[in-house]
Amino acid sequence: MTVDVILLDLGLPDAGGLEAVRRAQAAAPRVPLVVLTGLDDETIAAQALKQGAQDYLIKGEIESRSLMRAVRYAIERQAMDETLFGERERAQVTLNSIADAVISTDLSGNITFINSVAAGLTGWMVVDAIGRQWVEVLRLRAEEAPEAGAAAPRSTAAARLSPNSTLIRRNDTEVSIEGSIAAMHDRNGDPMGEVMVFRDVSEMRAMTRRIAHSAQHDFLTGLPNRMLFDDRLASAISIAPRHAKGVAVLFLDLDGFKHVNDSLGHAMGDKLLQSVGRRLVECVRTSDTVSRMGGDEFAVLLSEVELSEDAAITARRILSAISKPHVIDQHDLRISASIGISVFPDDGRDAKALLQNADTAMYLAKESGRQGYQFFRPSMNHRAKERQSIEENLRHALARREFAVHYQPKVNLRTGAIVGAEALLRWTHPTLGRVSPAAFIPAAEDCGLMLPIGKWVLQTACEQARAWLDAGLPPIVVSVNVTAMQFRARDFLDDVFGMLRAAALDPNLLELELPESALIKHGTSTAASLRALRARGVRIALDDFGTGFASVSNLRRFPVDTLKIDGSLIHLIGGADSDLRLIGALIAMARTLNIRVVAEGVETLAERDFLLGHQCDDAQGYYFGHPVPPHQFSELVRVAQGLVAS
Amino acid sequence: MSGTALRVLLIEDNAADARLLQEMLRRPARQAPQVTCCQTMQDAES
Repeated sequence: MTVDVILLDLGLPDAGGLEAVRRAQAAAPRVPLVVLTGLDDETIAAQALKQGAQDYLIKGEIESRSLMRAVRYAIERQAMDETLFGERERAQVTLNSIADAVISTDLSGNITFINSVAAGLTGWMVVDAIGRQWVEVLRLRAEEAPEAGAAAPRSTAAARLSPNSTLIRRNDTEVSIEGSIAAMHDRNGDPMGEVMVFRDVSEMRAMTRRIAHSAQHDFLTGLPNRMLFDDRLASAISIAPRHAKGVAVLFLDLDGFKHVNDSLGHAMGDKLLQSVGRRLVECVRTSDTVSRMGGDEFAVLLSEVELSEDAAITARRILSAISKPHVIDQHDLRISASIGISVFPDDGRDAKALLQNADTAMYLAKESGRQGYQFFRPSMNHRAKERQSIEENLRHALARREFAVHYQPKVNLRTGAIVGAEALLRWTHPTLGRVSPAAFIPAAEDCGLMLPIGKWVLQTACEQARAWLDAGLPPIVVSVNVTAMQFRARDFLDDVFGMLRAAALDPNLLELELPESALIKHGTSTAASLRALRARGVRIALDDFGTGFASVSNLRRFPVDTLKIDGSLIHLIGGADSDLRLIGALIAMARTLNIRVVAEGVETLAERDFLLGHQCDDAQGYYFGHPVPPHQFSELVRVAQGLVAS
Repeated sequence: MSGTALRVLLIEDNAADARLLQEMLRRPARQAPQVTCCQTMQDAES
């Protein structure tokens, strides 16, 4: 049976009082109920209302109009209750389903509602939080807490919480939050409380911090990057005059770091950079800044320097700290650094000038023998500009065909015949003129141009050797200098064999001159490469012997055809007896090992005679001939041939 | 609700009271409610 309303007498024989209400509601759950009671049962009627009855009527006082009104009102109230319940339910479920935390209060600031997210975030259970002052539950750091009634009483706009608000949870742990507070108003527009909406932004804030940090720091070492360094330098410069103090910039570049990277790999190089970074930080005050500028370059900002000498003291401390062995993956790595120093205000009045001048001074420190420091001097700028100009022009020199290969004769000391030629690179720039190899080769190595240039020299030398043969000259061994980096390049062997094939040149007529340093790293793979070259007939010469390690074990370990004694040793001839004995012993030792000996840099007759007397095989140097262009070299050979024949 | 008669369930064991209430409910001639009367809760529930 479907009904719109129930009129229920509370004095039924089978269900009296509230029992009747309960049963009627159970039988017809959403049907409005109007109870009928006697005059003396009004108390029970009131209880029935609390239990859900819409109204009550007292028998004996009922009249037709009031009965109908009660019936209609009961139906309307029930409908409104249903609607209200639906609205509340929807709001409740919505508020408990959203990701935001919500707390609402009454006008006194007592919590009237808290959703499950807010309960979880604050650490308060809903039942404990309801009725408490909101400041007890939503505890913010003192400096961030809004005043009570933060939202404007008449405004519907929400007031924002402080942008970096931190919520202190019930267990005193902290959470970063952001959110807002809005005032609630009744239908007259009078304030009736506030709603606070907030959310956990700990992860977002941590990510923001990480992004901000990585934008200003070097990812490898964690040190401030160039941007942050520039900021701090500019700041130090602005403060320094007020404190009557100086500011020093130390620009540091590791010596020979490329070789570490090339020989031991980038992973090892990276670890070495990290180790250097840590040592730099240990050498300065916490108020100073150590920055990695990129590659193997670091900069140190010394703020509030009393005297220039303070910067020198720090530079010496840094050089000493860096030169101590770096233990990395069970390797003891040794490295040195060169440092350039500029001081504010003498060497520059802004960050850019100071950094640039410290960089210039660093280059001079490197040129002065490395592992040292140099203060900037204005005269350095000229040399720096010169070097920069060389670097810029070098980049185009190969394409513009500005390079040439000259050949220095190598003479058999016993017969006087020209038996070989050392290929030597020459550069003539249209405006700079002839540039000394001592000036441009280090620059080419630094800017990574040595690989393509070296390849070009090798190819040109092979083609020239072929051309001489075709021109009817006797077979001449052409020697080509190969740097350690070239030798370790992945395609080096293929390139050499390819060039020999292309020039149809007997590999016996090509000799590769390697510095001793090219052999000592990656010994096993180096020996394998050397064996592969020799197996094809290419000769191997160990260059500049006597200037570096001069290790006899290298001569035994690696397949070497020729030992070239450096000119600096040859010039000792005519000096002390001990020097003469040393050179004699070197030649004897090489001959014992069945290695041919070539003396470099021979300039005098006395030197030639000494070498001949000690059975040195071949020699080269100004005494026999300067490096000359190919056509002049062929003339030399023809003349020498005639002399030898006659 | 307009257009259709109101359906009222009256649960009253006293026959005189029940009759009186039914009469009061039917007094407005226009759209008088349909009244169903039960004398016990058990009747109403069934």
